[in-house]
Amino acid sequence: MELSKPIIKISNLRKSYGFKEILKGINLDIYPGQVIGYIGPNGAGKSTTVKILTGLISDFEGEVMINDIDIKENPLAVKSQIGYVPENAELYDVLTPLEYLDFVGKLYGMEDTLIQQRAQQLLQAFGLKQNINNRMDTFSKGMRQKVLLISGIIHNPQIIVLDEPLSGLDANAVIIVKELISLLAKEGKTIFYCSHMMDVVEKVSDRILLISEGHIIADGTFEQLKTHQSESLEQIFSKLTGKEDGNADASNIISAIR
Amino acid sequence: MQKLTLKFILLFSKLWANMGIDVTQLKIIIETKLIIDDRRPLASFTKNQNKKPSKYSTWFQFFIFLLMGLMFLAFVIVIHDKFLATSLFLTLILSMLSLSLITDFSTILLDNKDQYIILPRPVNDKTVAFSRVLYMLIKISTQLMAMSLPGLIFVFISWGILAAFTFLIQLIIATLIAVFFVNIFYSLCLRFLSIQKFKDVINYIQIFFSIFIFLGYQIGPRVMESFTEGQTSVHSIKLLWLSPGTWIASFQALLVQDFSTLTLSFTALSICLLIIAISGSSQLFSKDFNSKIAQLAGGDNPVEKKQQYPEGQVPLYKKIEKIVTNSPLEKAGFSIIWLITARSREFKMQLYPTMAYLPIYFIFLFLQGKSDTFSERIDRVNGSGLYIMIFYLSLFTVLTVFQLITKSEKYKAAWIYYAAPIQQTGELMSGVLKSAFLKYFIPFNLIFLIICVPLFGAHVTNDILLATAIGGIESVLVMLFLVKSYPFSQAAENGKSRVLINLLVLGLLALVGYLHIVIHEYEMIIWVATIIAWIIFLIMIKYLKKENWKSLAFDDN
Repeated sequence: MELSKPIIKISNLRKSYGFKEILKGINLDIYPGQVIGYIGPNGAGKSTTVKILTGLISDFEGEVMINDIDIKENPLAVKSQIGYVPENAELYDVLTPLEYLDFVGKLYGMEDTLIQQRAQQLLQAFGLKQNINNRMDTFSKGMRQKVLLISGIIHNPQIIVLDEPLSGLDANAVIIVKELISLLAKEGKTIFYCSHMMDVVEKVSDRILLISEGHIIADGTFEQLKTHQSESLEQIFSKLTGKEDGNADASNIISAIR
Repeated sequence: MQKLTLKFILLFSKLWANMGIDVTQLKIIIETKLIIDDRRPLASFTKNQNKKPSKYSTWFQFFIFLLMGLMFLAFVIVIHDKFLATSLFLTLILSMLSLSLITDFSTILLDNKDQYIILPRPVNDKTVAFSRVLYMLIKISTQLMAMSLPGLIFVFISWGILAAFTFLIQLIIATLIAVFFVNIFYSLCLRFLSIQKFKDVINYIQIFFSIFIFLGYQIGPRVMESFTEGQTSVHSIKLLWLSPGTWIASFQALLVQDFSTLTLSFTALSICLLIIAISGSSQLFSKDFNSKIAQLAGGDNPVEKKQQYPEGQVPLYKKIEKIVTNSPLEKAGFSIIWLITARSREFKMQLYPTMAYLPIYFIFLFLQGKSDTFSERIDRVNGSGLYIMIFYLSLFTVLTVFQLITKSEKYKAAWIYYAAPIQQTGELMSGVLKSAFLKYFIPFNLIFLIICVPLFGAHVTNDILLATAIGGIESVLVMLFLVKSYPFSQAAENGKSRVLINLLVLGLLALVGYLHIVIHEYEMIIWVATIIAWIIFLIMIKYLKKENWKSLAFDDN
């Protein structure tokens, strides 16, 4: 797979807010069909990277090429190849799922009949067939999340960026989404998966990127990142981000309120 | 100003503490709420939120309320009986305050964020309830200042310092009574009505409010005339006896040595009212109230509602969409407006009052003047061209729609506009415009056509056509210059009166309508103007599509 051309090529990416530098030079090549698990502590620059990748932020230094398109020069062309589901995303819940998907599809320039056909099939596949004409304000969090996931793939994007996509989903739905991710990867789609849930990242991704204080500090498969056989991703994470001594932190908290 | 009011309220800490209120908690709750207000929601997908646009609009609001206060002052100047003058002034202030408290402040009172933040903490119900009341009091203090300042100054200069001091106390009592009674009203409503019904009640009151102001425009001058002509006093106008404003005003009567039974009983009444107001509102707020508010949080329509479209049948809006829009992007703008405006209660609640003007104006048209038979009246209206005004008044509705469509409780759902590859924002916005225009303007004009042609004759056709085109042009202009964000992408702001902006817009429409009336007898000129206006309108729509809104860009901060 390493032989093919990278679909996402990030070179020397920097981004600061005022004097605070969030991303301090990121270099990355991501290849089609890869499932990237993107992890890092809070404030490490994860969501900034995602916002740049999805074309939301354009004033950054460095170069981001997606499918040979420079995102600075043609953000719209990039956006149409990306499916994005933000963390805790909201939707217009007075609409029915079908109406919402119709709306989103049209924002991506899709034609009516194609949207209808895909939306129906996807909603059925996600088990929302019964609720297809119900307003989403009656939906549970998991049902809404499913609709959001559908809205992220309905235009058949090359790259799918998911930010905590499992939040609010029940165990059954989690299984569906995990399967979906691996199927999408087999189709040649690239998945950029951001999460704090280490156990899931460990299982779904075939390449893990760990970002800390604006640098990528680890890059490889889970097996490559392990130094000992018994290590979990959680342990690797806390070791690499300098929070190895989690127990001490917790006991400090207890002594503070005692 | 707000901090001062808070300090003033905290002067009575002992009293509050005796009532079972935790003053420390009260202080911190209100202070925090004020801080939150200062830092408007920094919606992460919107631009220009951090530029403090609020300062300017606050002053504007202040100015308009000042004008209103000057209008009220007219009563105090022209009526020589001080008791009567203060009665009217305070009655006006009381009704303005209560109505704007009920309509503009319902979001504050029914704020359900308290639910998650304050209620899990050990804060008693009285404190929570009281903090809500005081918070409203503080928010309304600006409005009160503006409205009463002219009156206060006048009273100070011409009635003397003692009268002015009494007047000030009267104003404070009036405000307290307004705030507390509005709260009592809310808690009673919440106790006896279902949530859905309650929202309807607020809705009706808002409609009533609009009508009230509109009526004020129409009959205010006449009332003033009748007061100044004859030697009237409170004693003879029994209707005024019912107004709490009159009761409070009785203090002024005492000052001029009027110790009649009526005056004394009014004074007693107003003091009782104040006591009832303060003690009553802390009694009435209970767990019940808070749990009801919690239910309010449950979104617009908690009941399962199916949008029933039989298999294979295309809904109406899709049919219209096919005819009037071209690109998918335009269709997206069209359908989102069409669908959400039909479903969002929040939106409807704010829009419907604006439609109340129309039937009222229609009735007024026919009631004015002294002609007797129906046909005489019709002839008069027809000859004067006053019916034209109604075509322009209906535009008010569509202009309000444009003010409202950018706002939503669900503003965070707007992330999708920024993630999607939107090439031409103008395409989207022209869909928005077409939707609003077809849904909220054209139907009115069709109805007018159906009513007016049989009533006044076929010559009104060109008048309606011209009004429609001018309406269209105005809509495009509003769209270009005032609509600065994507549909339903902005947080609604708390306690901000829209009544004032509405009055301005109405005035502007009336002006255009007046110009039309001036030329209405020259049929040929109207026809020519109609054709020109339509051409301009259609060209402008084309232009709108090509426009790229810079203000719609994503702002990360």
